[in-house]
Amino acid sequence: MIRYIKDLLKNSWALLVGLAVTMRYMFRPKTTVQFPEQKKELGDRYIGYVKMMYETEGEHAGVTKCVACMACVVVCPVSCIQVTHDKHPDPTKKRIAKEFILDYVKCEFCNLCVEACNFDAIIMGHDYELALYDRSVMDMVLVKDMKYHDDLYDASRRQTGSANRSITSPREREIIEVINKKEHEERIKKAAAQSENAS
Amino acid sequence: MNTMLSAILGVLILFGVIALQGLILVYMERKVSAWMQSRLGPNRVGPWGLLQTAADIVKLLLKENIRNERSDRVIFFLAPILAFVAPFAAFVTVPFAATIGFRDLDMGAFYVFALGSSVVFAVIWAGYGSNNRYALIGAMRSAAQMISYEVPLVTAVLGVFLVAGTLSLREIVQLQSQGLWYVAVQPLGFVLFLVAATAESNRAPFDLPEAESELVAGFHTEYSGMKFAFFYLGEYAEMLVSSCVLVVLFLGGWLIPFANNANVPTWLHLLSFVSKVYLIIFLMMWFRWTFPRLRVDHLMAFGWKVLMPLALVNLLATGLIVYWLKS
Repeated sequence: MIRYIKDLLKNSWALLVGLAVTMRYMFRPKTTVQFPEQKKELGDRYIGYVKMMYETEGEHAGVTKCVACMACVVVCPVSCIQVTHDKHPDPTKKRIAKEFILDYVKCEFCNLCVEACNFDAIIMGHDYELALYDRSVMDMVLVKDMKYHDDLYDASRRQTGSANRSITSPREREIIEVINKKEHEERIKKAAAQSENAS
Repeated sequence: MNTMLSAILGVLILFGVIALQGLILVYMERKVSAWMQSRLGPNRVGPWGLLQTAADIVKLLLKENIRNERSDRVIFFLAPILAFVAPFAAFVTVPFAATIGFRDLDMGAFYVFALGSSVVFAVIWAGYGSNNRYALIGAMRSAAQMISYEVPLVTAVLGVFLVAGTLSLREIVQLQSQGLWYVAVQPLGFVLFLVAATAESNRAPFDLPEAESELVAGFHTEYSGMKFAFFYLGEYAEMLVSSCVLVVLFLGGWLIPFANNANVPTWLHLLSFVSKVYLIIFLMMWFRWTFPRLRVDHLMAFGWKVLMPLALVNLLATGLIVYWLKS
């Protein structure tokens, strides 16, 4: 009898504790991310698809950083990168990529090309809405006529996805800034040294 | 002729109100469940997802009515109607405010409980008529459950009738306006009634007749389209009617707490009644999204070994005290 009453009180208390838990959760901030409108913050090392870096300032703004050294083409395990080269418009440099095409049908996002690149010309971006209706348009042209070219955001090609916009990760922005600054300074130094030598 | 017309008008108004309440309750259920699970709930159709349930009704209206070839045509057809009509008819005697209500029956409470327990027929008809094993098992469970929870439900309420000395719902509210609400007089009866009413309306954690994980959808497995919608509406109507009865019996009906209720306009009384009913419904939803479903034998044990003795103790104590006060 005493045990019956004891159990009754104990179990009723347990039920009340459960009710308190759900009530607490009711007023907590919700965890839902409403996907097409909101997007989750991605980690810095998130591997989306490959992005081409390019000069953002100076005489050659918009020109790719890729110098067609073919390191990425050699290291790619599925041979999905095609690069053709030309003479660099900047006389201090030798070669530049004329066209850089990445076949996303084959690409397995292994990150090896980015690791192989000695010029920080390609990085892994934070974009992930890659679905397209036609595999023939999955050959993404990242460089065209030596200029930076993002085929994926070409409105005529992009048929799916909610937002027609590119996500720039904080890391990506940082890299762009740091590299551009460093390269710019180095180039000025080099040019100064050259002019000194000439005189 | 005139009474006939007013009766038809009354039925139409009541149907409209209950259907609207059904829409609101389904929306509320979804929102409450979502919030308790850290989700957002419907928010795409209309502002804040308010039109989601309306869209669902349109979908159900457009769906095909499928009938199992070997099902019992008449019983299969009648079950969803009874499932809705029984709680619907119980509204006749519920006093919504001092002057609003359809009929005040002398045996109002008895009438409400009689109709409430006749829902079990709808469930058994649905299970038997659809000629489906899952549906039949669900119906059998439901019969066992509803019969065993009917007993503590009515026994718990008997205490209130002993104190009030009447079965008319309107008189019970009027008696409460003179003194304490019966939730203070009969706290144990209130809790027992709340639990048993949740079980009566087949809601979680007592939703064994439609235990999804084991019985597909229980007794309404074979139903589709508008017939299914009627079962759904019936569940919410029953929830609504049991909350109404709970409010009338224990929470003072339309009375406003800590106020002089003599000179208050009727619409305030109505508002008070509706907010109390919604509070109770929220409580039931809270139960549903907190407690896991009981096992069948645990359900029976809980009904007969916990609710029933407590209800009897409550009844005995109330009877003795009432006898002692009167003599």
